[in-house]
Amino acid sequence: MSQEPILSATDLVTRIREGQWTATESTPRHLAIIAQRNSSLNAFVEVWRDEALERAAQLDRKRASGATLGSLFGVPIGIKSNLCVTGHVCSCSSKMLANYRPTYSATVCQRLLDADAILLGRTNMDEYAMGSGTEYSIYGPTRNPHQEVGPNAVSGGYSPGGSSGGSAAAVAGGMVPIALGSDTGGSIRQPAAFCGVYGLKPTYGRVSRFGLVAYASSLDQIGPIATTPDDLELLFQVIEGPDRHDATSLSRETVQQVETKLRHKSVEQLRVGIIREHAEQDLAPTVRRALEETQAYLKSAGATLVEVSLPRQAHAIATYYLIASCEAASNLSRYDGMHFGHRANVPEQNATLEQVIAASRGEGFGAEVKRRIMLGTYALSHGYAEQYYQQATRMRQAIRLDFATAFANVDVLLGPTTPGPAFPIGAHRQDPIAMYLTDQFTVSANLAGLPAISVPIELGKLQSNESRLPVAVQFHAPPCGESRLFSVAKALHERNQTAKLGAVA
Amino acid sequence: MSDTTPSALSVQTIIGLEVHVQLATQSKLFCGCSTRYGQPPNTQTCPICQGLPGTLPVINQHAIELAIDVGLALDMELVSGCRWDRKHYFYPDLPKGYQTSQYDLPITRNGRLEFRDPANAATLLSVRINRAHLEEDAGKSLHGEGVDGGTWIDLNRTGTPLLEIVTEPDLRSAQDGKAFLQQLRTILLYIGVSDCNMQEGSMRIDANVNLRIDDGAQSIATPIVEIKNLNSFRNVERAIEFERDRQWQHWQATGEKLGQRPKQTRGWDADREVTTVQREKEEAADYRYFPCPDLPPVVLSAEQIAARRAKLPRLPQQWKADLISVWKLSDYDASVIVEQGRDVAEYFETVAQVSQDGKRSANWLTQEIMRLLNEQQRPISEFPISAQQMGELVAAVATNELDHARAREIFSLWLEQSLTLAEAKQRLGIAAISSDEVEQLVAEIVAQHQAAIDDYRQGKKQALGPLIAQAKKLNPNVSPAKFREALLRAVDGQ
Repeated sequence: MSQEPILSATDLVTRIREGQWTATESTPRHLAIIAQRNSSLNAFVEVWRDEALERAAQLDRKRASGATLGSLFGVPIGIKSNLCVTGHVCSCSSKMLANYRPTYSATVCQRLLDADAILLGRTNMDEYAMGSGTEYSIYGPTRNPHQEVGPNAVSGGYSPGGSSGGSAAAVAGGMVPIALGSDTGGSIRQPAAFCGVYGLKPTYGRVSRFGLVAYASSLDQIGPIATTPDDLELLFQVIEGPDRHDATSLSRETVQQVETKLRHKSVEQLRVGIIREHAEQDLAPTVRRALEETQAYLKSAGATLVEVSLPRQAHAIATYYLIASCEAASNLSRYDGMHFGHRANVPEQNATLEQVIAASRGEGFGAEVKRRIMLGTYALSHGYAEQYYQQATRMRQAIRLDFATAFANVDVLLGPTTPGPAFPIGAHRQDPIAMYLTDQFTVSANLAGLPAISVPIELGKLQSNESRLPVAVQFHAPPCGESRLFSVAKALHERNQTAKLGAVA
Repeated sequence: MSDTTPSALSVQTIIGLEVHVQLATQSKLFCGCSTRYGQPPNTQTCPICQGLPGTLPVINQHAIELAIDVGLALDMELVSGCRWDRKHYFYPDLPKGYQTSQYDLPITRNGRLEFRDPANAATLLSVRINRAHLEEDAGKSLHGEGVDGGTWIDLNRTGTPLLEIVTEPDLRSAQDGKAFLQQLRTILLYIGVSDCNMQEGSMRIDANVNLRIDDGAQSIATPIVEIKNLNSFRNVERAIEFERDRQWQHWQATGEKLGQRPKQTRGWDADREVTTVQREKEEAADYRYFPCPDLPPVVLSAEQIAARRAKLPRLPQQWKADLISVWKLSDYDASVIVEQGRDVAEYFETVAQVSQDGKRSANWLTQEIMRLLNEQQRPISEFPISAQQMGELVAAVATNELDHARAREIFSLWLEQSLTLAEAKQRLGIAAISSDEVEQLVAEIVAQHQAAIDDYRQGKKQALGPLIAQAKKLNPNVSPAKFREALLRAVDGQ
């Protein structure tokens, strides 16, 4: 295998388009890296090798024919296992869908194919996207490519975060330059932060959800994971846009109207709000440093920093877990073992319909999924809906309002993505609440429908006893403000390059 | 029941109806699959109506338009921003595990419908409509029809748009219920929102029934029973009557009152003519309604509503008023025609326009055409004589070009063969007859039937009748009226 560093998607497209390289040359290289590293990382749960090689050859022929080339021409990409691709298993890491093959492709996957990307395979995730560690999976946990060095190292390795941990680990591990994840409460941003890569949760409605197996429909968004902000933007541009199959997707006109109002600003023109409620939390020392170094950099670049309050942040996690669980309980009602998915082997002569359904669901779903179905079912039950679901809905409105108030004065909001760096695999197995709290800074963007990005931060000089695990900060923007997030991320990316060379104190 | 009712008690039957109407859209409520009835099982499905993971619903705008039409026709409030809710229950013919419906914000609410009192045609009864909401139909379970005698599922019907029209409990008898449903059906057919075909399940009815028993001192209500899935007006009538009697007997036996027992769901067994318990509501699922996050609220603009109002077909009440004022029909004739449905009313209107004789057109339609259609159980769309032709025939009678008997001959011939009026006349030897020919015929008859003439002159006026028939036999084209006139001139004239 070539020792040449793995190229970003942007560079790869340029090379192949300009004829310096072919898809047939680059694709096997990625397959080889997967073959080499996946046994320890478990990022991919299925690699579509033959199909990928075939497609690479097809693309090279297309280029030879002089046809117009798509913007992801020849780029290998990993797909989270909850996105439908015709004919391929879409399991959501669940026994329930272990052998389920969709008969149609998700809009985003079709757009990738239309842009001449190569779908390399599907990546590991928490079952039905419910989890923050990519541990609740029939395929076993995914391992973070990053590891502590020295006395802090743990033998079992670190979690890549979740639920899109497979996609984040695949990108961080150099298997693919870009991957798709889905983010319902932080499932793109938290693993991106843990794995030291970029992750974007787009504005609700900017990316079609058609073909994404639903977890919590009013919160779910598909988004990109990449090693550079340019790649992140490139992938976002391909997947975003209206879709007549998704009634919640935003029209081109709506997006343009909002974008026009959010006129472009360079970093020195930006007013950056520091979210007080997030900054005040108990943060791991390296996360604290990432936040401080980001502030210092932005200040030096000429941006205006102000402290901003989002008073109802303390309620975000409770609100999120109520709403998400209610929607999950509803969305997962379709798995009854009747039409598709796992069916318990109950002798039908001796069983009632209810028994067959109960046994199929009992066997097909894992513990965390069952926990959320029960929570959601309870919260929507007659007599409790007002106390739980309705109350959560009102709190969600209040949280939305907090953001709207904040964005009247600032252009973007800054805070940590997570309270700490990656945790050792299995650390939260006995304590689901501790696992839920790793999402405490990310759920608000989903509740408010806002775009948010996780940007890895290279720290300056580290003491020998300090964690070497990646850390990140998060920026929120007003609806449809993705371009603001990209420009901030690009500036920080340049800063990171400098920091790597040791030039940042 | 009345014979078992002690005279001191007054007993009222309280009825509210829920009418599920399948809307006449080409495609389903949330996907592009066809709604055609009677296709092979599971041939009209797609990932969306199969409820496959990852699929999303997209609203069929035509269903919204038809719901607006019903709202306008029933004088209802249209609710902009109405919502979609999920109603959860597990059943194999409900592939998503929930039905997408409208719970607390239906598309229309608060309307009313008037209909003729079946006990007294001169009075109108009024029923308040609580709401009409959109929802998707479930699939069909085919019990015991599989090769192994098991249950098979047909998802062709899954996702078909239904409008559920819910009345207030304003009806007081099974007959009123039936009359209300007939009027509702007539309106729905006129505005073309549904074919209301009950055999095919395009109109299904649930009836909520209980009794209010008043002994003069206090009023007692019996527990409410919901009779599900009634598929003919006759079944509605019979089931309500049965339930009324059953509840009366049950109350006499137990004295059970409303609130002492949960609402019960019963089914109608049409063969045995009894209702049977399906389930007590307390064992029923908690549906856990909540707003469907995949569908934005439906915004109805004033322009959209105005456009539908402008396009709304004439309602039966308006048709009837028009038939009375424009074509001078009696209230009775106008009602008879309008109640036959829009096709018949339109047929009438064309006949009347061509003939310019409303009364004669109505007579032909109600006496000749409707009789034939009823005999043959066929709709007017399959009637062999076009409204245009019928109009020409009526016009010929109205202008005395044809007498009624000859017109009936043509009518009968037209039932068999497709001919123009001129062709039919030629085939039957119908030709205009001159006054000379009439005079000649009179002379001939007078000469041959002197005895009858003498009888007439002695005061037996009816003696001339057979002579007219005789003349008609000699020359079928002679107009009996003209001949009679000439004959009278001949015998009285001098």
